[in-house]
Amino acid sequence: MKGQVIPDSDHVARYCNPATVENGEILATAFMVRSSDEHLSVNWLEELNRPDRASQIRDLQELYARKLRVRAAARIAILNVGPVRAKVEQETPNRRLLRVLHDPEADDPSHSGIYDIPYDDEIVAELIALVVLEKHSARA
Amino acid sequence: MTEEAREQPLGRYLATKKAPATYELSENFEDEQSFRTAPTSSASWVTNLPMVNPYQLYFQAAAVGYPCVYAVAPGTGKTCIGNLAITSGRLGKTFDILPTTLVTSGTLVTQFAIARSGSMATQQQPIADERSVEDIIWHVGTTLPLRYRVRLVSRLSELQKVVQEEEFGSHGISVRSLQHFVELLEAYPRLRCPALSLTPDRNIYASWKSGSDRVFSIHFLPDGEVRFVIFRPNDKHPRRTIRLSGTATVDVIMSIAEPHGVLDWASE
Repeated sequence: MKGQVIPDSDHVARYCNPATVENGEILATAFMVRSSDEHLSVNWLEELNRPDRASQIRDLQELYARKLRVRAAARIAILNVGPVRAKVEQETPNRRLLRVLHDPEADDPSHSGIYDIPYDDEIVAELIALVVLEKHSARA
Repeated sequence: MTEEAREQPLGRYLATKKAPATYELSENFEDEQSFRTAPTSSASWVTNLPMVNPYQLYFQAAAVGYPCVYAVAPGTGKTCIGNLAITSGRLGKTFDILPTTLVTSGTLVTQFAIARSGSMATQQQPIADERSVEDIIWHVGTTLPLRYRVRLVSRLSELQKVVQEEEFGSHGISVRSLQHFVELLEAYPRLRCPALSLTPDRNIYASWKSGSDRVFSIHFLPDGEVRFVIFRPNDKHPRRTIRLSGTATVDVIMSIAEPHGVLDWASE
């Protein structure tokens, strides 16, 4: 449902293109937004209704292959919603509160967004990069 | 201009005159007081190099960090290998001169490159504005410190390819952002090679990290502004981290960051 708050216990995945990955390490730029962006696009893993992480990742790899030209160096960053929000709230000077909301699209039902990432202060992106839970290849 | 300088062949004098302007040393280069020598440990065979007059030297862009060969002056027959610095009497600053190739054409003359050490003039534009990303990458591959030159060229080429493939018709990395990044590396040759990535606007984002509590990252904006992030340990509270971010310009970012100890992990 559009606008549904994703629970802190749930997980989201971010597609990280190779320009934001070096030697397999996902860098802060993977979590930056343009001034015109309303949110950072992610996918809600639990919404995929798959039994395990491996099958969730396979679904995402298929999704990305349909929508993007996925290069070998591209990665998927898995984030646990609660720790991301807590990290940013506790460690930014203005105690910034991020929102993680479901934003389904016709061809991408698990599509979601992380809202309130500032485009002009890279500290939030740096903090998110520090709490990446898992890294996977974006290409099957 | 002194009588001695007037006696130099016109071409030689113009070459000498042009070099400091290119690198934005004082236009009144004649006023610079002297050169001083700083021979490298293994490559110097002349240690008592006399003070020489700037008019007697040629200048040309050169690779930072190269072993260098230079002659003192036309006709003197003295040559040495080492590093050279100009002491500017007027500005009270020291500029590194990084010599390149030995030129032998009748009289013994030498070519040098000039690079600033530790500071940058605000208006510095060592790379022409109209250059392409590929030109700048070539420049990186021929001038930046040897210890990371190959790695940096490889990474920049990779980033350029990624952007061009993902955005059809794109020119790739922001040229101005890349220029400012290279300017910083040229001004601070002791910096380690950073982790490099591109922001959504295709600007260069350089990051030097050592664990989660030592982070120094710079976003190079096309207009010469930078946005930076610094994480560093809180010396008085070992379990805590100091975090700050802000906006500056590329020519002053290091003077802002250095007091926070970033060179402890960002430099060799």
